[in-house]
Amino acid sequence: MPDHKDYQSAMDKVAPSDAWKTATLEKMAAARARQEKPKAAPRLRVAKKVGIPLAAAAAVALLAVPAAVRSGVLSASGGTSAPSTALFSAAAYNETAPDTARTEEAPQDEMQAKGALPDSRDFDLGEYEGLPVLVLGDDSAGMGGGVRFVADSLDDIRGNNPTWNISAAELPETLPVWHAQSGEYAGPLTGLLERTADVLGLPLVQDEVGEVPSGYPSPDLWPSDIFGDLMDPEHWDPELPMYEQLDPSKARVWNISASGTTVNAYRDGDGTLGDPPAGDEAALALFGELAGIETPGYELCTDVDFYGEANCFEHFFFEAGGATVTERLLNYSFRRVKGSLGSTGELEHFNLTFPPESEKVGDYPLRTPEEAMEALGAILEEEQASGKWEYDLSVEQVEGWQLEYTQSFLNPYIQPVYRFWLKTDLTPEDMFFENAEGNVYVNYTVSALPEGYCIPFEEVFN
Amino acid sequence: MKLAADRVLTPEEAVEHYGPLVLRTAFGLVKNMQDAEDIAQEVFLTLLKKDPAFDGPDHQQAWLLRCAINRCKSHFRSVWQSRTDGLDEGLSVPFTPAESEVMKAVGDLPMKYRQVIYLHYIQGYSTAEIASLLEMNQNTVLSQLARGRALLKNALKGEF
Repeated sequence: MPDHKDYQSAMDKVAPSDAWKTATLEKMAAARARQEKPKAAPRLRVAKKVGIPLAAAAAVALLAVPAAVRSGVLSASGGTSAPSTALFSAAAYNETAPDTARTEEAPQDEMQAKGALPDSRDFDLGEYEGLPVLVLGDDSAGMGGGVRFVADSLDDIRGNNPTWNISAAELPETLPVWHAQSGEYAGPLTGLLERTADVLGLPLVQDEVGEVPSGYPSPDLWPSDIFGDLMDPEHWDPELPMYEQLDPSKARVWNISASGTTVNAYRDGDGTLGDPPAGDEAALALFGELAGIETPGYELCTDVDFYGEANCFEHFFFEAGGATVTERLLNYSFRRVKGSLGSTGELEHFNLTFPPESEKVGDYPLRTPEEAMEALGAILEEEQASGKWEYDLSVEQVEGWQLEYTQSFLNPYIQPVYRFWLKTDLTPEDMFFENAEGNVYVNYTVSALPEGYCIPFEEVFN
Repeated sequence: MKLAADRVLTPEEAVEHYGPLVLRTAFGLVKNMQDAEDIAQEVFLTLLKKDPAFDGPDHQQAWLLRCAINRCKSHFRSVWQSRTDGLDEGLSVPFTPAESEVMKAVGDLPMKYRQVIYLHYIQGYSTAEIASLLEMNQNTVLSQLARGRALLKNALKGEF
């Protein structure tokens, strides 16, 4: 029988060819020639600024999921209310609250909130002095934004966010902020797995909890993930412990996990992906009701890949209903269903996003897009001055913006951000893409809250 | 397999010294030589463009390994339809039937098991080293290694 020695001998045969080495060195020579300021080449930011090991920066890159994927909320009335599947509605959320709808314990004075912005503020989520100053982590793996896409048009990649370039009159005055569903607020995660298991009618076995990575500055926030298995009742006796099961290897049907407000599951075995729309429809049929989707909208984002071929990087159904911009944004952000079919035509993977069930922090006022763009301008100027990119980038190149909710394990809060899309002067060839045509776009996120309400994660943990 | 250089290498030197490590890592995770070559190339181009400040050769090697693993994960996130080339397509020496069988079995593992199996059996890392490399708890690594090994035993109808 084959064993690990065959694995090792097989891998010994994997070696770079001379052609690969030559091609790689040629591309590196070309890249070197393009670098105008080789001495000012940037360093990895997270490892230096946050003061955690490079390994942690790599972990950020490994674990961070694009905000668009992990966006995820509900009880807009806040508090630790029981899970609800009701849609966001005008009755549940008063978008036009005249006094910016502060929470009961919130200070009424914006300056007071600004005053609570000391450099040395402890990262203690349990002690609030009114409306807390939020912390916003960099969700782009420490690279400070600048994620690049090649596409013919921005319309191919920006999605169907209902706040895209809306007018000032339509802009909500406030948006709710929740605690991230992790650490001491991780309770709802198990419920997400259980409700998903109920839909499939399969027993859930929860057997792993994400561990706090060494060096993580706030262990109270962990775990951000829980893992479980959905078992085939024919091969699984729920009355018996794991070690007494007759054949656990036959019993597992799905690997399932919950992180933030999202449930993710893969069928045991090969997870080959294909035909997103068909997979999404299959997932919607199964889970649409659970996710509270009554009026499905569909999002399919496609860019051009390294080979010049269409690449679907995002796809899901979302709840398109809502009487106000806020309702539509919350439904779009936190009621999502996606799936992928395997080669047999069966659902092989699904991903569900639910409204948050953690404690609501408060309703925060929003800064205007113009104010946010000023903040973006400062980021871009800093990057240009440091030589981070070998091309020019400024707010003049902004083609549009949208409000989004962001959540990741760096962020102790589920909070709104502005995402700006910029069109660069780059060509696909500049990015070493072969046979690709189109424009090169980048996007950046900045806090949607006025200055003083939110500080960067790096400043807290520096 | 953990053969760090005696000093921090230039990006061009790193291609020569660490090319096999990076390519093998990518191949071990994406199961496809063409994709592995592309990913390995991107890793070295990133090394050149970012020019990270390394504390020493071990740090540089670990960075390359993590960068390769990270790229592989991004690859899985972004791939729409997986390539279907044969496992040993592009190799100068084809796999034996036993090697093909075990490579397919490893390739069928979920990513989280595949990466610890690869780092342990091919790169020779201990579970403590894998835990450090991937920023995971050692018990989690042990659990994933045991689980991956059990899945392989089941798939191969034998030992692993």
